[in-house]
Amino acid sequence: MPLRRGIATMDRPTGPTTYSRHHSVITPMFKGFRGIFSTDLSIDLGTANTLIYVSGKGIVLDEPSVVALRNDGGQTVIQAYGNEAKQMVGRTPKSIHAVRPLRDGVIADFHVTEKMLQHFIKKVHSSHWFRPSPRVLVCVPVGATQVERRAIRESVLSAGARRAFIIEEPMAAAIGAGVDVDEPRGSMVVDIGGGTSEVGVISLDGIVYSSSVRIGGDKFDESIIAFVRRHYGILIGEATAERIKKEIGSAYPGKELREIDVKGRNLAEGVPRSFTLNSNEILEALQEPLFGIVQAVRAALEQTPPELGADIADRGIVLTGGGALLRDLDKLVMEETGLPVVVAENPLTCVARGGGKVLELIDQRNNTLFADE
Amino acid sequence: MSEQERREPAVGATAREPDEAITFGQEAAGPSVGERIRGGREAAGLSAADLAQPLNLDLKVIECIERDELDAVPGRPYILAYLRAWAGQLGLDGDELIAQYNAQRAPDNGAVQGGIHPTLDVMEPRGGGSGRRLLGWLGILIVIAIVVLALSRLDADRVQAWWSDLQGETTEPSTNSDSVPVDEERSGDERPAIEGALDEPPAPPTEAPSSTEGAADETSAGAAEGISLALPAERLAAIGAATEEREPVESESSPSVGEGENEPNADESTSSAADKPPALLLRATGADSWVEVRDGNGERLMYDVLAAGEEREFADATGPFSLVLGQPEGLEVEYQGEPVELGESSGDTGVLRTTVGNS
Repeated sequence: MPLRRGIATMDRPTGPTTYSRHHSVITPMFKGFRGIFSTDLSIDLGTANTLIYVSGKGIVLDEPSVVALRNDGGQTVIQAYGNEAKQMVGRTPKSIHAVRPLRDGVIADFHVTEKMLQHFIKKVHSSHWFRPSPRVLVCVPVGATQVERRAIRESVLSAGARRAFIIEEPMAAAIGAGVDVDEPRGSMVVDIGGGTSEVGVISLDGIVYSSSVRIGGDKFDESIIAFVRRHYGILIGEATAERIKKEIGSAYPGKELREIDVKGRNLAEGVPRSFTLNSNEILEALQEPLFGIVQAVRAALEQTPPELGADIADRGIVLTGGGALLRDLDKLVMEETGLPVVVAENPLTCVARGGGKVLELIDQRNNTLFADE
Repeated sequence: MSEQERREPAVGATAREPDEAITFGQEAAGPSVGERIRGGREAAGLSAADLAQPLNLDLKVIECIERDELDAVPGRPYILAYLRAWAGQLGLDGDELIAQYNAQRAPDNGAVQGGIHPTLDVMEPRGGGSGRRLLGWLGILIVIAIVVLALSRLDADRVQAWWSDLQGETTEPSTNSDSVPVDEERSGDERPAIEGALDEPPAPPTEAPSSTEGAADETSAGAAEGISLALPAERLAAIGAATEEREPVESESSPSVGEGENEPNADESTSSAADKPPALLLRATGADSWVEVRDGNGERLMYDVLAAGEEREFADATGPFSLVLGQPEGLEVEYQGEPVELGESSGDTGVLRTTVGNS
C-alpha cells in the first residue's frame, strides 16, 4: 500500500540470512516456554506494508512488505527486509531481486513471507535471549480462500508464533476505527489497502455483508505509470508513481491545481527526461481504479438489508486503510453514494489497532469469550 | 430558508444566547463543543443546513451536537470526522475542537469495553496445543530422561543377575505344578539354577558334602561333573546343593530322571545337555579384564569388563571365537572344557587378540 507512511524506525538487519526450509520438529514443544518472554502481537499483513501493534505500545513496526533476495552461487539468501529492501526496488543488480511476498492481500511466496514475519517478530522483541514465540492475531482479506487463510496461518506459526488468530480485515478495521460493532446498528467500513479493498457491513459483532475487490494502492500506482507512458511516452518506476500519488494524487476535482516535477525514461529517445504533471492529470489516471472501489461500495449498499442500510445512511461510511489518505476520496464516495462518508482517525493503522484491541479482549475475558476451535 | 426558519427556534429554545453560553461555559472550561460550533456557524452567517449538506448529514445530527446531546448522535469516529470538516468550513481549529470534544466526553472505548466478540478463527500449531498440554509433554520427557539416566548408571551385571533370578523364580512354580516333563524342565531350568548358585556365597562346609554325596542321580551328577571342569571346587558344592534341593521335586513330578531306561530320549537329551561343556568359558583370576568376544558369525557376544573372580561362559555359541582381551595375564580361557593357551599380548597396548576354536 504505497500511501502508507513510516511510523517506527528500527534497526536494519545486520546481515544476510540464510534462506532455509528447515523446520525443527521439537520447536513447538518449547513455544510455550518461550511465550513467557514474548509479547502478543496484532499483525496487519498487508500487500504493501506490514504493521505490528503491541498492546500498550501502539504500532511498533510499520515497514514495507518487501524482501530482497540475493542469489549467492545457487543458494538464495535474504539480503534485506522492509525499508531497506524497498529502497532496492528497481535498483538491484542481476544477483539481487526485491520481491513482495504478498500479492492481492494473500501470500504469493510462502517461505519468503515466513522469513519476513520471523524477522519482524524478532525485531519487535527486545529480548535476545530467547527466540520470541508470541500469540499472533493476523488480519486477512475477507475474500481470502480457505487455502489462502491456511497459508497465512502456517506462515505465522512457522515464523515462531505459538498460536495464531485470524480475523477478517473489515471487522478489525471497524474496531480500530472506534465503531461500536456490538450495537444492533449497521456500520459500513471500506478498508482500502495496498492490494485489496474490503467493504464490510457490520452489526452485532458480525459481518452481515462483505466483499473484496483486488484494487488498492498498487493499482493506483500502476494506473499512474500507464497514464504517463500513454500520454508522455515516458516510463516511470513504481517508487516515482507512488510519490506522485502521495503528493498530488486526488480522487475528486479540487479548487487548486497542484503540480510535481518528475523524471522518467523517454521511450522514444531512450534517455531520462524531466516533465511536470498536475493533479487533474492524476485524477484522470486514477479514474479506473476509483470507479472499481465505488462500484464495490454501491454493490454492498444494494446487498445490505434495508434496516442496516438506513443506519448507514444516518451515520455514514467509514474509510480506513492507506488508500483513505488519497485526497478527497471521501468526497468522491459521498458524491457517488449520497451518504455521509468519514475518514477514520489514523486510517493507516486501523486494522492493526483493531486486531490489538481484540487481542486485549481475549486476555480481559480470560479467553472465555472466544471458542478455542 | 423555510427549513432554516423552522429549525432555528428549536435550537434557540433549548440553547442559551451565544453570549450567555460563553459566559456560562467560561465558568467551567470555556464554551462547549456544541456552543462553539453554533457560535461559529452564526458568526459565519450559515444555517445548520449549510453545515449538514456538504456531509450529506441529517439536520438533527447538527442540532444534537449543537445542544451537546452527544449520546443521541452517531459514535465517536463519526463525530470526530464531522467536527474536523466543520472546523475547516467555519475557520475553527480542528485539533482544538477535537481535544475539547475528547475532554468533554471521556474517550469512548466502547469497542473494547462493550461486548464485541467478533468471529475469530483460532488456529494452533500442528501437534501442539495449549500451554498445559505442552507442559505435560515436557514433564513426561523429564521423567523419561530421569529413568533412562538411572538405568544407565546401574551395573549391567547386576541387572543381568536380577533378570536371571527373576527367570528362576518364575519357572520354579511351574516345576512344582507337576505338568512339565522333567527333561524339558531340566534343560530350561538347570542353567539359571546353576547361575543362581554361582551368585550365592559358598554353601557351609557341613552341608556341602552331604548334599554332594546325597541322592543325586546320574544325570545330576553328570551335569555337576561337566560343570566342574570349569568351576572351582568350592562352588561345585553349592551347585550340588542346588541340584539336591531340586531332586525331590523332580522325582515327584516325574521319576524318569533317575530311571532313564524308561525314557531313553529324555535321558539322552538330558545327559547330552549336561555333559556338554560350555563352548567357551572365560574366567578372570587375577584382576579385572576387559573382554570382547565374537562368535563364528562375527556376532558380538560380550563387550564388557570381567571382574576379578568372575567368569562367563558361552554354552550354545559356535566357534571359532574371536577374542580381544584387555589384560590377558589374569584370564583363563577354556574351549569346550579344555584350557586354551593364550599367546603374547601386544607390547604396546597389552591387548591380546586371538581366535579360539580355529581347528
